Amino acid sequence: MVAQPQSDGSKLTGFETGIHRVMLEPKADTAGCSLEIVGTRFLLKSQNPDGGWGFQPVLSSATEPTAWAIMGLEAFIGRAECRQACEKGMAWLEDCQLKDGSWPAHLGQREGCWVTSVACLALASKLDEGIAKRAEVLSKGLRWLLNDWPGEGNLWWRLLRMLEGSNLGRPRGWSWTPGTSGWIEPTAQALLAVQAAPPELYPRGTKKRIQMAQAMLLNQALASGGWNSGSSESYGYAGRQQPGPTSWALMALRSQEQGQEIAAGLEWLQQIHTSLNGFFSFSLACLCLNFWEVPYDISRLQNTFFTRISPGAVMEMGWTLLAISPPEESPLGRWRGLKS
Amino acid sequence: MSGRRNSLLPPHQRPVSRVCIQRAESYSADLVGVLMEGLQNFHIPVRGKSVLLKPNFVGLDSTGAMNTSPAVAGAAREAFLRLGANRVIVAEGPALERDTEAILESMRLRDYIGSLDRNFTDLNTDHVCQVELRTRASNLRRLYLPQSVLGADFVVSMPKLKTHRWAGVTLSLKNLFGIVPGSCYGWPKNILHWAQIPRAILDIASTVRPDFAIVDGIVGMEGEGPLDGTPKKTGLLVIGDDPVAVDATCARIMGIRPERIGYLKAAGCLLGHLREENIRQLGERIANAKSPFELPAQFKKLAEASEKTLMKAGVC
Repeated sequence: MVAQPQSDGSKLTGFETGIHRVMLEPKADTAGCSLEIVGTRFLLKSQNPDGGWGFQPVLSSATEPTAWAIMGLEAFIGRAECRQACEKGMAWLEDCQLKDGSWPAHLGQREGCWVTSVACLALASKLDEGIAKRAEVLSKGLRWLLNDWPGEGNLWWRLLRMLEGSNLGRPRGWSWTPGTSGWIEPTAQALLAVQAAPPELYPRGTKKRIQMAQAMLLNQALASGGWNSGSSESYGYAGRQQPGPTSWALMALRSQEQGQEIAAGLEWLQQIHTSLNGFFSFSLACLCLNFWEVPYDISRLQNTFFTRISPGAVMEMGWTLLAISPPEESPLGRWRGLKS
Repeated sequence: MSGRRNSLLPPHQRPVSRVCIQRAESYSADLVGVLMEGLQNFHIPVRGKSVLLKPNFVGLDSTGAMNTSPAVAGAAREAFLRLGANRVIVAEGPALERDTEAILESMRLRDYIGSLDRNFTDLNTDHVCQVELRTRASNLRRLYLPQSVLGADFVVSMPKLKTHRWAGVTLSLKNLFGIVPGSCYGWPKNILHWAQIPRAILDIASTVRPDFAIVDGIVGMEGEGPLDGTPKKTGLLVIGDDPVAVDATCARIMGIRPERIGYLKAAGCLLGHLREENIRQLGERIANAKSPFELPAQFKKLAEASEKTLMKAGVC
């Protein structure tokens, strides 16, 4: 990875990069500003010269934060500076795609992983502008996703399970990295990306895969409402609900009838979101509740923003902008096939 | 890695290791004093250097038995600063919970180490570099690792004293899973499970080579650790400059034969000392500190048994 150049021309390397942090804004500068102004200003200021975003403003560009920053800014695309930043970001994202259609987590890596879903989601959200190259990039990404099966699907694994007498009929989702087990978050993100894309770009077998992933998510819902990152039960212990996996699963299941699992998950998330003390979980929960058009505590979001000295978190800012934007006017509204 | 001192050597080429077992009855004790006293037994070349403390912050911890105590992390930070370190950061990449801030806030870490922005690094989202692993125990071959770890002058592994339902015990070597960045491998870092946990531990430990280990055993976890076990108070801090020897000593304190834990046994061949006769115990004696832990169901075989039973079973 290449370290980011600093204002004095020096570069942060090794140990220094880890401890260097950029303050968001002094309190005085943000006082009285709307969330929209603070959020967009933060993302515009933290965009790297190469067009991408890092997880923190000082870090080099990575796929996941870049995709979420683009989607966050796109919710306010009416502003010229947001539009320009999105275009630059999108160019970075397109350049970062690997030959096999996948995206790596960080620029320069040679293997793709689950962030391919997030990149595809960002592309699908901007496809309205009708750029043919973008549709081709998205199409390649979708093909990779459809061919990416979790490790538990392989023949060797199935043979072993068969010998153990285990159930082979469990629906399969997506894994974090190729060849490993399916988990809730990568499955939900892949499902979001695939459903957000126009059906004419679907590779063969997409619909079946969508159904399988939906079944996997519903199958893993916890009886008490919500989702854990993995199985609903492990070694005889019931999984604990987690706000992140619950938010992703609920968003991915937006096109479903609101059955027991979804209703219980939404109720749990709405109940606990006011007590979440991490900006990551809180902004994600707000995004999910906004997507489901369920009320959430906007004042707490406001307070989180204005009282924190240094959230320094790019993805959270992107989610926040999506959370405060009317779903019909933001990328959320353009995620095709996701609204029931 | 800045010239990590420890090289891969067979036991007969290594000097005797030293491990210090110290009493600390609770987290409100003078932990800086306890650690300073223990650290004086070792040559710790940190003057003017950067030190990275790697605790085990797994997730939201309602019992206080899952995560390394923030009091111990804060005391270690203070102790290394007193020893002349130029900079000491606490760094962790939680494996199960992506919201690191929520974990840190729930532990009130900032009360112990000061500003999180200056003194804490989330290894899950740090800069990364691809590193060739120094051993081939697993099929991983190479991993992306955080630059904060690779660039630190002195790395300290600071685990909690816990049982582990997949690895037997989780101590200073297993704790290194937390440096593998989630931004590349997800939450959990499932690639390490597919590579087989004991093998992945060996490959990461042989590559990162922590310079020192401080195990928080003041309150540990027994039974179905590392998440679903029950708190176990031992009132101990175990420290040393050979992480393998520290882990072996911890296992003995827990009533476990370290050579029965596959990855520790293998680590004893190249990374440090496992055998009791090669470890000089300082502070408390193991016999006085011993406090047998309830083991996870599938690891009952690790427990120490009488010599007679072992001889009968043909183990000795």
